This record gives sequence, C-alpha cells and structure tokens, in this order.
Amino acid sequence: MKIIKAISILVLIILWLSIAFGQVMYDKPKAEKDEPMAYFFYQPIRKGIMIGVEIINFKNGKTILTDKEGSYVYRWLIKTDTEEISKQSDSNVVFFLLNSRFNNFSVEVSVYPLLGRDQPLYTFRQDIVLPEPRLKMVKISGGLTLPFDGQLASNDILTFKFENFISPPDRVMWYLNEGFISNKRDISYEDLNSRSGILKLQVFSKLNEKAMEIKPIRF
Amino acid sequence: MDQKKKIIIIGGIALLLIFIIIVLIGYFGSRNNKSTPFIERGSNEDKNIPTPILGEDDKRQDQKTNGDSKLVDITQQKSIFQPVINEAVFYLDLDYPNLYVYDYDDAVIKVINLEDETYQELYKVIDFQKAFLSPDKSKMVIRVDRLNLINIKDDKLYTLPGTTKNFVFTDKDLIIHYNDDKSISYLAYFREGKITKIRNLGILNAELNFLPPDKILIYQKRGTSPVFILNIKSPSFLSLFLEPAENYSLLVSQSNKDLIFVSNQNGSRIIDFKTRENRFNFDWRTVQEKCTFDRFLVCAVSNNFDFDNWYLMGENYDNKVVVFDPEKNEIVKEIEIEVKVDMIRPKLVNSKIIFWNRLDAGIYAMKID
Repeated sequence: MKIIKAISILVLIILWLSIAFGQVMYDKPKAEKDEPMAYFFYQPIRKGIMIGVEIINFKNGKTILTDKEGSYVYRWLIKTDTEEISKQSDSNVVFFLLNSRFNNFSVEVSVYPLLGRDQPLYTFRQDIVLPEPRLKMVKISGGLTLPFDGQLASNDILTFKFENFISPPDRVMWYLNEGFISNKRDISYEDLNSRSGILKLQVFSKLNEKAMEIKPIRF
Repeated sequence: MDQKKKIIIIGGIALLLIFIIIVLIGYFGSRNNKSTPFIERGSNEDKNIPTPILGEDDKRQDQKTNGDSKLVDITQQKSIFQPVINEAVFYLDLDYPNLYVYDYDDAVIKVINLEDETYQELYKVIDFQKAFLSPDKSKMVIRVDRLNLINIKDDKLYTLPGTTKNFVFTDKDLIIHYNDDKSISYLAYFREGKITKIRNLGILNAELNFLPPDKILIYQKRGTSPVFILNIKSPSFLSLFLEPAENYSLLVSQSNKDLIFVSNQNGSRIIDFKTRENRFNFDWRTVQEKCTFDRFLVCAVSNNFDFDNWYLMGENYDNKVVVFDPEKNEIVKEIEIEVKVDMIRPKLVNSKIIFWNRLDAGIYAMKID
C-alpha cells in the first residue's frame, strides 16, 4: 500500500511538473500571439504606390498563405480624408495609381478563397503615414558621387539625390544667398561664380510634392 | 497489490512519460524551427600599379604633397591613415591581396594585387554606376543604365529585367527581386538569362542576405519591418526570424555561417542562427555597408549615426572602429578616430584595416597596434 501511495505522489509531482514545464516553456510566450498578424509594406513607384502584405501565423511562425497563384483573391481598400479606392488582385501585392499625394491613409485587405466562400478568410487594416520627400545635395567629382561637405573644386558638379517622391521631381530651383541662380538639375563651379554663402535647393514634382535643403558653401 | 492495480499504475506512468516526451519534443522542436550597355573585356595582361601601395612610405609622402587637396583632412594623421592607391576609385570588393575597383579615369574595372603591385583590367564599362561581385568572384552584377550579370569565367553577359529591384548571390545562383507597377513582386532565379519564379513577395523594397546553404534573410530595407527567412528549397512559406524593428541591417559571417550581425534603431548584436540566441550586444548602430564579417567583425561607428541621411549620401563622420572576435566573444579592439572619414567595408588585413572612404573615394589602410 505504501508503494502505491509513493508512486501516486511521484506521479502527481511528475504530472504537475510536466504541465508547469509545458505551459511555461511552450505556451506562455505565444499566448498573446495566437492570432494571425499582417505586415504591410509600401513603396512609392511611378506616380503611384505599391502595397504588399505578408500574413504570419504565430502558432508556427510562418506566413499563412501558400504561394500558389490564383488560390486566393485579395480585395484592397485604401481610404484618405477625401476618397476611397478599392481594387482586387490575385497576389499579395497591389498597385494604386495616385492623382494626388496622400500623406496619411489607411489600407485594408480581405483575403478570400478563389472558390467556395463569400466570407473573407482574413481581414487586416493598417494606418500608413508616408515619409516626407527628402533631398540631399551631393557632388560629382571625377565621375564619383560623393557627399557634399560645403566645398566644391573647379571640376566638381553639384546635384542632388532624393527619396520618398511618388512622382520624380521635375522643377528645380537653386538659390545662393537668397538670389536665384539656376533651374538646372546640376550646377557647376561657374554657376556659383566662386561666391561663398548659403546655398538653397528646392525641388517640386507634378503631384505637388516638394523638398528643400539649405547648406553653407565656401570657396 | 493485485494485478489490476499494478497494470493501472504502470499504464499511468507510461502515459505520463509519453506526455512529458511529447511536451519536450514540442518545445525543443519549435525552438529549432524557430539597351545593351557598353561593357567589354579589359586586357588581361598584368600591369604595374603607378601608385603607392601598402608599405611604400616614401612614395606615399610624395603622393600626399602632390596629391588632391580633398585628401588633406584624412592625411593629417599620416602615421595612422595611409592611402593604398593614389587615385579616387569606386570600391567594389577586397579579397586580399586582390582589390576590385572601378577607375573612372580609365572607365575600367580593375583587380589590383596589393602584394605584387600589379593590376589587371577586367572590363571596360561606360556609364558605370555600381558593381557587385559574387562571394567566389566568378560573377559580377554591373549597373549601367540597367543591371547586367557577367559570368567572368566565360565573359557571358546577360541583362537583368528592367524592374529588378535587388538581387543576392547564392552559392550557385543569382536570385533577383523583381517588381513593377502591374502589381507584380516576386523572387526569381536568374539563370543564363532566363527567369524562374520562386515565389511572390509582399516585401517591396527587399534587402536579401544569403544564409548558406539554402536560406535567404529578407526584410524591408528602410522603415519598420520584421526579418523573414525563406528556405529556397521549400519556398511556399516565409518564416519569422526577428520581430519588427526600424531600419534593420544584417550581415552574415563569411567564416561562421551561423553568426549574423544585426543592427537596427535600437542597437546592434550578434545572433547565433542555430540557437537564435544573442551572443553579444553592442550599444551602437550602423549599417552593413560599414562593416565586414569574416574571421572578425569590423565595423565603423558614428556616435550620431543617421540612417536615412547616410543612405541619401549625407555627410557622416566615423568616431571609432570596433573589432569583435566571435571566437573569444569579445571586442578585441576599439580605435578612436579623429579625422574626417566615412568608412565603407573596413576589413582587417595583416594588422591593418583597409577601407574605402566615402568622403573622398580614396582607399586607405589604417594601422592598428
């Protein structure tokens, strides 16, 4: 009888330990993440914006949808303050042509099986704030594009790099000490006439995007 | 004790043992899963470098006094920073003693042997923008107006699709990320000019790191993104590797393929891919272009590093170089820098760190004790 009691106690201890071990090491870290989660990605491209999504199932840490084209239908909706645009795609990527730049918008995607169900398998929504258009003056020296440190050699060309524009900049204005000097994309030593001071560059796009940089220049 | 009770007790214990084994297998199992451009062949003959290379102190002094004034800032510490070659070039790769550069004056990609002071012209390239060598140096992707793949062994040239966003060399292949405004974004093999789709990709500005033998680490190059793993042998699914963070930058060790250098907005660390554990934490951040990870991890670090500004070619001045030894799991060298320099690919070679300075396009060797 004593043996039975001892074994029973041992069994209970092992049972308790195994349950505790299992919960702590196996379940607890994932308890808050059992629901699938969507990661949205976006990229301004050729007068519009591309949006992509990857959906992760945290139970196994893998993307939830297989990659068989035509297996699913993606219904997309983007909303701005003034308008809504919807679109359908057969892959996890969509392109929206934009007539004006939205700084803030929400995107919603519903994933449907190609056949059989009217209800979406998943629906996800996310607010997106587009990064501000930016530019940076750079110099071209001996064919190499280098950071512009405020100094220009006689053979150098001053130009700029930009990012986050949906439509490429098509209007450029260079100022030196608040005086207009050029609307060319690239300016040279001669355009500046060896004058030091404050250089200002403004660029604009057809979608009314704009960016500016101010930098001292010395000769 | 009767026979029935014995059977019940033994059965109970057996069930419990099975249960425990299942729990343990589950736990450890989940842990482990956790237009044709103008490019032509250069002359193959060896030529002497008309420039100083490592160890030629006298020539170096001459070159500095007669050299371009743009080098003045960094040459103020002549005892520490020595020019490796006497011209501004576009740095491509260093596989010591071979240094791969693009020389704008001659419009040619050169491979310079830093030991015997000779060079060969690999390809003449007009309108060169960038070039990237495969790890075994047998292939090269050159960007002119479009991206082109050259198989160096047989000089075959292939033009990549116009909307190729990025690419990565694996042991055998070139994998490209292709996307366009027709709602297409996918990864594909590019083999002898032919595209074989691997899978769609929702990540649109993907950065790709090859993790031998069969995995690719994928994340959005700018902004907030998780890091995913793609097994190219079973590409239907992406697996989550690292939780979302801002501005990831990764580098896989070339000597120990399990070690990955990870940097993001919050700092940097070394992760062991097999165990998914942090091996070492750094209290600074940088980008993969400012590091190399071979036998040692070497990184150039700026105190106030601005990720977006750096990628937009803004000015950046490094404050120190850190050399980390993964075998000892400690920082073995930390060198303060007091000149204007923005290092690209600093690499430890024969007690010197060879790097490309983005501020003046010069290649230098920095002495370390």
